[in-house]
Amino acid sequence: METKDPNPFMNRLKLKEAMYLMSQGEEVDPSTLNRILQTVVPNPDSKIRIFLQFFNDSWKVLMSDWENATLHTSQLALRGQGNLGAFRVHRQVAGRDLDFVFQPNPEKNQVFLSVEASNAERLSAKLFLDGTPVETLPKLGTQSMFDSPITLDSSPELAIFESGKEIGRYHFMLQS
Amino acid sequence: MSDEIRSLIDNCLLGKREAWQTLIQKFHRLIIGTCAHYVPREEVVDTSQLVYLKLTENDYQLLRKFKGESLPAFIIYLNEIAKNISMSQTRSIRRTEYREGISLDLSIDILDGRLTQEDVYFEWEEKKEFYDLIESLDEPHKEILILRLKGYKFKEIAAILEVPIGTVLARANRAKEKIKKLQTKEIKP
Repeated sequence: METKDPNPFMNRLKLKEAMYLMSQGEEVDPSTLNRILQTVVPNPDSKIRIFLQFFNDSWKVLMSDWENATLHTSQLALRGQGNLGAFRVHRQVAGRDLDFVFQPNPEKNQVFLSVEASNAERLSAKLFLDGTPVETLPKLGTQSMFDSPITLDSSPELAIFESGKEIGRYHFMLQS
Repeated sequence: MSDEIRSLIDNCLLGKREAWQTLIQKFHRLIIGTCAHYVPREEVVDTSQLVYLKLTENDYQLLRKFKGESLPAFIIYLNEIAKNISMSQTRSIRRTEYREGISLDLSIDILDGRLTQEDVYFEWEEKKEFYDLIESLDEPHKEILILRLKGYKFKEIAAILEVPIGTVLARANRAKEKIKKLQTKEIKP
């Protein structure tokens, strides 16, 4: 088991203690389960959650609309020169082909996001933080990178617009 | 097993209902058991609800901080979260009782028992010295004293360590004797 406490003795003791406390607890009944689920599960929306994880020297990308599927950076096409460590994820949004390009910093605690699109005319993108727009790319393809990074503490949302109408929304989270 | 717990947590982070359902069914006993150890019985349900709320705060930030891949590591992690929330809830209950004047006797006790900065420092020094002494014991004796310091009764310690209560009492006595001798420098660590 990987240790949380650097002291293996304390880890073993904490586990014994936790197992004892678990034996003293109660199973969850159906009504309590439903009540808890209402508070922990986000309300259904059309937003897609994209979760970037840096573990064991590689990036893993999870997406809420891909059932049981994850992408590891070793499986991703890395393109571009001088873009060491960047990786891209291809998405189709309302029939449009979009690429999200993720550029991590060397410390792996920030990831810069670019949005690239073919047939990009009339497409724009806006980045939201806590529901407030913080940055806009008025025309995709020409200046596609956002200055505000995805960080461990902030989980921005990206909205894609076509002729001013929202066609897709993504919520990014980072764990490293 | 390791892939299973990592995948469960990942799916919870993506906000998937089935994953949360499984997580709650697997770990509710642990959360309730931990809360029940630290807060009064009538506060257990509310405190356990608070644990779940904290897990979801800031886009599941607490869950995101768990980087392990094994079930035991997650059990320890969740136990620590539930313990910290319960302890802070206990302090908050005491403060509320004092503010609202529900229990004047208790409020006076709290005021009387309030430590000065100097007291806090010396208490910390003593504790540190004591923990240093405990460190020199062997594991079977050390674990009993640590659990006693965490407020467990001997009967509970016997259950945690899965040894007869007689063994716990005997080891606790031997440990105390050794600590005393170490303190008086009768023996060396």
